[in-house]
Amino acid sequence: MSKRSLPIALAAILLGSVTVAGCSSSSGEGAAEKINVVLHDNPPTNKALITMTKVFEKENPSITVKISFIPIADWAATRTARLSAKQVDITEGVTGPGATPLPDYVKGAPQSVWMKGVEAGNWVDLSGQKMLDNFIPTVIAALKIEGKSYQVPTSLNYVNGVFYNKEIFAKVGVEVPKTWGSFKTVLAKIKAAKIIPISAGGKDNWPVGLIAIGAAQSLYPTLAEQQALDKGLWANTVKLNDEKNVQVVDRVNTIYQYIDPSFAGVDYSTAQGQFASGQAAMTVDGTWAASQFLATNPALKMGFFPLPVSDTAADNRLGGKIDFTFVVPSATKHKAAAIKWLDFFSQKSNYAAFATAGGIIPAQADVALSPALESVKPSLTGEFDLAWDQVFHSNANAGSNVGPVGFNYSGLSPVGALKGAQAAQDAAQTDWAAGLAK
Amino acid sequence: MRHNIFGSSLAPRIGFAVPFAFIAFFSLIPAVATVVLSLTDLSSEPGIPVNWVGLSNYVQFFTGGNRNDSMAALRNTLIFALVVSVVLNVVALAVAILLNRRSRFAVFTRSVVFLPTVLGVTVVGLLWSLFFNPIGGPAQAVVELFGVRSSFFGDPKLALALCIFVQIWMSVGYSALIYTAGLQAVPGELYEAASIDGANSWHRLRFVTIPMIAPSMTANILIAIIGSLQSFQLIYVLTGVLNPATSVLSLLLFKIGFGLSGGTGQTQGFASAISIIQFALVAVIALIAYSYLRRRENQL
Repeated sequence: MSKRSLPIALAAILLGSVTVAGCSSSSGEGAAEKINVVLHDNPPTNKALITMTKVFEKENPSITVKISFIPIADWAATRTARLSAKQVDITEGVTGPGATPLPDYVKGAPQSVWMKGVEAGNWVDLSGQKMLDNFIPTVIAALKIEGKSYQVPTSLNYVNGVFYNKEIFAKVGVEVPKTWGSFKTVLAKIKAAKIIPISAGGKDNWPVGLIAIGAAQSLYPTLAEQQALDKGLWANTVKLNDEKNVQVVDRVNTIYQYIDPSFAGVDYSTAQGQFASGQAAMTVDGTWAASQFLATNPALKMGFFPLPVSDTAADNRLGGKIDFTFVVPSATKHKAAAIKWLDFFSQKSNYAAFATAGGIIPAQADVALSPALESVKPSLTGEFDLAWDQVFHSNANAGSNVGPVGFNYSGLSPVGALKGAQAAQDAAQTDWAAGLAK
Repeated sequence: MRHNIFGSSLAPRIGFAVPFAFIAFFSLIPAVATVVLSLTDLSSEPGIPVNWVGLSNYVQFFTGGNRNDSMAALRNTLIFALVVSVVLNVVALAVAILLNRRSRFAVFTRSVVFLPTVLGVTVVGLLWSLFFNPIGGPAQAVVELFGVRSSFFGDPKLALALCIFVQIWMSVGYSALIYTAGLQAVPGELYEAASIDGANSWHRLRFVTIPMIAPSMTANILIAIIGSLQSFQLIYVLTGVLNPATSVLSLLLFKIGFGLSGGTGQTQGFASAISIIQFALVAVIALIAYSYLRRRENQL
């Protein structure tokens, strides 16, 4: 070997060994199938799914299921990374406006990533799977794209409820409010009793968005009114700073005055803790939170009512959404095993156990409500209305003053820097108009 | 016959080639790819067709409904970088001068000052999040003594200032260490000669210390400028991605790249364009600063 070739050979051996070592780490899987399920973190449903999966693995010893629960803050980035690495056999799909094609009146905005993925064949078509028959037909229909089903729903949830502490209400001597006027009276009396009327997690942004959704839900109480608003905004015949839309944010602003003064820096779990521990009399939260409150404080005596932002009691109704769904990426090498797990989840008895332990509103008919939702039961009417954020098509080309719901709760002081509803909605309208197709 | 590979003229080239290959693979290729991606409508999910959109992502940054967010992020980035770079270097130099004095506790005090750098960004972020937690945090207990409550990182008027404070707290040890190394290389005779010539403390600092540690100053200022213009992790941990008061360019591109901004989906093509704009900003400012600081070094 010449003097020159020796170093080259050594370098080649070094690089070769690095390459071999890199390859060897991905091999060595056994014969048993292992499926990876990647979901967002939600303690009550996490626990229910883990319990169910243990039974599944016992009945299907050739399949191992690894479920990863990703904290909400990291959810979008992690899901993207895991999908890119093809390390996912089941993950969550998309619900709400992004779940189906954009309506004709939405011009200049791109289709959602979910829709682009469906068109590109990224997701397994589950149409015809018997498990889908177990779910409420209208829920399955709401998620269909051109007659095809790609998503298995897990649950429904209402987003504009107020959990309240019955003991504090009794101590202060207030009743459950049905209208905006009576709600303001309740807030004022609790504040006068030196108790925090409402807790909210402003630091995480979306929890205070539930207040804005609730306000919009009450002031635009029917689906027809909400659709007309959405259509009018896209046609630029309705402005976000029109009187009624400013009124929505003005009422959000009034509620802000009764939340813990430092709520803009408080995270969601701390705000939940304030309510569960009895420091705050109320909190605006979705029905998914009920079991978490009881897990934190089993002795908590809580009730639930729709956020009453309208002066007309009948307009203060619950609005909800189809909660997270399961989908199977087309890139999976374990399609049959993944569908088997989904089928197992969807079976009546397994689903009922999941619904009970997870404390969710069932997406299957004739499934008993979880005991954790006892407080919610009196507010359920038997009808399921979509919440405003499930109807509104936001615009990625508009700025953060529009946000996901069009009502500028995050720009409004003290969460944002804008003083008053008019200023907040003027900013929202400026961003919205600038984002519309010219 | 024995071969000594280290004597070969190829040896240094091979030694250089391996790390260069790593850098090219993990840095240069992604950097060039980002430029290309910024001209497309790339989505976050694999398998979605990618379309060529020309400069529209760049146009979108400076116009339309995103303009206010873009300009706010640009403004916050510049404020953050300017204040951090100036205050950090003043404080670090002061700390280094104090720590450079002969003392039995010099090693201990230097270690304490350097400790935040060792802790890492996430630990520092969580530590200060707890300190400034509006519910039960020690800082709240202090401000309540004055009859007020603050939401600290949730207060749009205060959030960026607090992030700047934590960034400086975390970085001061590293910068002070570089200054200390520079100070220890200054010959004591120069101070003695200056004193004999009647120089007071200020004169010694201005006409002896600063000229002699000019290279350390250049290094520190450049590190501070580049680091703070790209700062991401600390603000992410302290305030999250969605707080407009602390939205800097790197957070904005994360928010858009991973679809946290509402609307209809993730647009990594747009996020790539923001990344290139940020790169251009860092490159221009760093080059101007470098050129000025080198010239000043020579003048001193």
